[in-house]
Amino acid sequence: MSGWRAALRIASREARRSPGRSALVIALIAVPVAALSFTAIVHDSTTLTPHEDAARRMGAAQALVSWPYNGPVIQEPTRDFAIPATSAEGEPPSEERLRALLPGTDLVPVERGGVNIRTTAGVGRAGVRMLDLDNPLTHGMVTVLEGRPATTKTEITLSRKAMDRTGATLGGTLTTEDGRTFTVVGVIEEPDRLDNTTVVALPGTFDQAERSWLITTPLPWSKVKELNKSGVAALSRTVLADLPPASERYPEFPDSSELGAEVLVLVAGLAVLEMSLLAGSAMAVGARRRKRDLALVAAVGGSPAHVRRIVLADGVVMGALAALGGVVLGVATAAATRPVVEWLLAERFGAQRFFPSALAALAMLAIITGVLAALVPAWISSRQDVVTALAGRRGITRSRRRWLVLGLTLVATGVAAGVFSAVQMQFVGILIALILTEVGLVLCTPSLLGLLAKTGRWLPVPLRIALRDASRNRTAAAPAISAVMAAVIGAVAVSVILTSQSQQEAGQLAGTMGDVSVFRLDDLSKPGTTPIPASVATAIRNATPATEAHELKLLACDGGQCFAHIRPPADRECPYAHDVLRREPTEAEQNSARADTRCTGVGRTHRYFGTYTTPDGFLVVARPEAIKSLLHLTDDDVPAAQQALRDGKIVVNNPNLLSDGKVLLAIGLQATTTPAPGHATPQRRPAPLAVMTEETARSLGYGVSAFTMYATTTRMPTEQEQDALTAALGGEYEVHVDRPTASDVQQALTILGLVAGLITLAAAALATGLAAADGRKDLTTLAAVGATPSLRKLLSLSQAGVIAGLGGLLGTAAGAASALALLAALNAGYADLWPQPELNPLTIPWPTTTISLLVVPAVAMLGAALFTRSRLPIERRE
Amino acid sequence: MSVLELRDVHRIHGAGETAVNALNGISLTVAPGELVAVMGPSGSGKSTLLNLCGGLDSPTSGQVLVDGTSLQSLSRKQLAAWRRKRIGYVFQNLNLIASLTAAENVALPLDLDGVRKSRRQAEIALSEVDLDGYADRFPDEMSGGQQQRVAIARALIGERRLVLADEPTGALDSRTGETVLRLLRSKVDAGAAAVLVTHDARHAAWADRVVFLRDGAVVDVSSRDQPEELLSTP
Repeated sequence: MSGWRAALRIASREARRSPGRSALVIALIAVPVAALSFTAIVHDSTTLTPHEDAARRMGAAQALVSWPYNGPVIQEPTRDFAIPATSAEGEPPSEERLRALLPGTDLVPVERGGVNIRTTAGVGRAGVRMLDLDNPLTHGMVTVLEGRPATTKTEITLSRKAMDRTGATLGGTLTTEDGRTFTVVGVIEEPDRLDNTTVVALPGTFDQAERSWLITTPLPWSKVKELNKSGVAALSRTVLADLPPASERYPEFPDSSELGAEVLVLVAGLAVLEMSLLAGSAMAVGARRRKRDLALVAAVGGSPAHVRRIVLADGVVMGALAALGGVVLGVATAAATRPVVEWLLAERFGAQRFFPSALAALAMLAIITGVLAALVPAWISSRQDVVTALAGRRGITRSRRRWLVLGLTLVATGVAAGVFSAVQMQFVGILIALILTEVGLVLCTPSLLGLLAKTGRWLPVPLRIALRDASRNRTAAAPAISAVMAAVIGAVAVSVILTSQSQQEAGQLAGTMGDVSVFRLDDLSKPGTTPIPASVATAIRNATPATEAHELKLLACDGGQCFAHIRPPADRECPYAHDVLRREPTEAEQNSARADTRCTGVGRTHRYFGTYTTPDGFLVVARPEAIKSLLHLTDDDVPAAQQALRDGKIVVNNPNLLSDGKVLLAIGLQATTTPAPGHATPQRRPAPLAVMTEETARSLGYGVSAFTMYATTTRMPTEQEQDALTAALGGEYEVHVDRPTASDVQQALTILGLVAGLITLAAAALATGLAAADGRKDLTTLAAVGATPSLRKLLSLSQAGVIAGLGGLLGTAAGAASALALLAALNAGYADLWPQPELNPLTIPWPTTTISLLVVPAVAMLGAALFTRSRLPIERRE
Repeated sequence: MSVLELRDVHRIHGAGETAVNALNGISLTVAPGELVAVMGPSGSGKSTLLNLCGGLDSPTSGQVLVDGTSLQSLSRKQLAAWRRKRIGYVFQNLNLIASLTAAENVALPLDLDGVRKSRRQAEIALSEVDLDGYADRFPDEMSGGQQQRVAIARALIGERRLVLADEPTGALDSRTGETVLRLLRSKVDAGAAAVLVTHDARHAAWADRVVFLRDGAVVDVSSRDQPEELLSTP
């Protein structure tokens, strides 16, 4: 402990002496810790205990049972969803038989379903829950917020979202699409689905609902499995409270592979790295300003270890204060914003909990971050030349070659590990690789700064000074640049992956996101021959931002759909395709297919007009006017394609399908094909699509059946526009809009991207402020030699530009490269698969890239210019 | 035995064409109870000499011995310990660590060694420099003269017998400067040894011996009864 007491004393006093800088360092650590504390508390509060979970799913009952199949079923212990175990059929389910299986229990029915309701915009879908809220067994499943539960089948209660969408009021009415009217007697909420459009009514109020029962008999897992033999699925309170071991569960339901603790540790590691870089930058400046003090300590007998301890003690003190501040702030924010958080998450907390073990770990994390942030400044301070420091000279800053070598080695190792892990789909490995690469780049930054400073001689004075300052003070500048870089890496990488995912999804469509398809409900169950009236096209044009609307039909075979598509000529057909083999390819055949160019892209599934997903391609019957929209043709391609259709040819969007002016028409799974005159347009989309006219279909001996009214749009139609179209068309039609899937992962990635963007701006602003504070002495000198006051602004602007620009440039390059490498590695991983899944498009998201390259430095520079006073500082004598 | 001894010390800064001979064959001895003043124009090597005496810098050749031990034979860590226990520094200004009180500044070498009851020893040391009641004041709550007295108290706390003072009165007015030098003199009279670097011949008059440096070499040595001669030295 020798010297620690003095070190901690100096550190705590120094923290008080420089309140601005201390507050900054503390904030840099405390704010992320507060955010993590907040997240931990929200996670703990929303992770339901078995008792809370049971209350939401089965009220006060002992179990929720359903009887979905006649034969034996298997199920997971935590879900009331079951799948058939065999094809054996037993006696049909009935409530009487259930009573016999569960003697002595009460059976309280609860039902789920859906209904189309009239909304303010038109017609929309609502979820229906039918249960008697006055029955004590249902308590906890649904909460009545206002009014009372429904007591007759003409009464209903609505969720807030349903009230908003329908414009209904308490005591008012709600009308379903089929014209039934109900009195709204209450406002309810489902604790875990606050944003659902939900109608709650008594059982039996609406048809076509799935019925379950609440029961009063406790069901251990053994009893659940016994019930499964009769086709009954059960979610039991007893089972939720004491989950069966894996050996007693059905092996068909393996444990879900949730992200393990090691992933959390690595994510925390990345967070610590980011915080350490930001805080380390501030601490480096602090240590530099105390250079003489530290030299004095050395002069009175302080060893390098003593000096290190003094600077490390800064980290301990700042970390401890940040731990306290961060945890308190996180707890206070979580408690104060609970209603807002519940609204955002669309679910109620199980209870307000505070996750003490996580908070303790986060407090420790803050202290560790503080120490890590002080590590480099401490090491540098302990090695400073005492004589130089006492004389008030800056000394010479040299980059150590060994750090550069180590940095480059880490970058190379990180990239290699990342590629390997991506190919192996090892998430933990990818994270480790990311950390290695980031640390490597951080180590390389000082050398890069030194290199860049050499280019300074050609630059204007402010930029020259800023660049040389950054190079001379690289102990402060390098962490700041690294912090910007690390944040930009995250933002750009996330953006590249999101863009790729979005393009991949769009690439599976035959059309474009935002396209509208309207189907007649009767046609979906049994193809009809009645054309879809032109009024549907008019309704689409009126309700949505439609550009063109065309009726599409399908080839009809024996009164049903033909599932027609075009197959390649025999010499170009993949010999291992399912169509050819009439069975799944063997492993050896898959290996051969991978090496065969004819098989490239074969077997990938595509989505056609919101209804069909097939790997075989698709054929529609349409008028020639539709060809441009359907095949995404350019104006130059259209006349020939339309003429071909008029000439009775089948137009395909893949020239490879055409041979000697013929295409091969295939019907369903039939082995034979029919040659027909064809025309090929350039391939604009990967989804194979063929088009013929009704006249051609009939000339080839086929009938046609109604399919859809298809419209292209100028933008994604809103939910309200979709509701309005559904309402305008009446209950006879279903409206489909191709929308991107918003998965949880995508949402998480989007939030991460936003956070990374904010960190980038914060790091840039911080780094600039610190650089400006560090350069005060130079400004005094500049003033003495006659520099104008505006030079201060220019200098700050240049400092911001150097730090944010360099960080942005490195981060963008590294982020884009690492994300593209990751996607390429994933694609390479697909190389072993056949049929090969849709590859991840390797695209640079230019908006994000431009932001990180230009906007971030520009904003940082603007901030520096706005917040820098032109008055020159008065320096104290040293 | 002398407290400080320099044997044919050379110090060359830089190398090749840019090499500068800061010290050129200096030999010097300081005995207990002796105050040696070092004078000379700027760039004559005064501060380099002091840095070598304190082990903050190493000679290119020659030897520096403190209490009979060659500083070159000590590691960085041992040198630091040597400074904590045997050598005290007083600089021209900013001698004290601003975030520590007077007592804490004085006790710093002891605290770094993990010595218990360092506070008591610091209070005694402060009392010896007539700063009773100033123990809990921070440097910026004291005058320049008071700060220098704190520095002298720190330079002599524990068992230290060698004080190296680099223009300790440079930032003080003449009256305060004289008080500081009187204090230094009294400490030396009580058995310490001191090397005082100064530009001012009147301050040098407090010394037992005055060593005059020029271009890194000793060009003259005068005794304490020749201050007037020193004043007239070009």
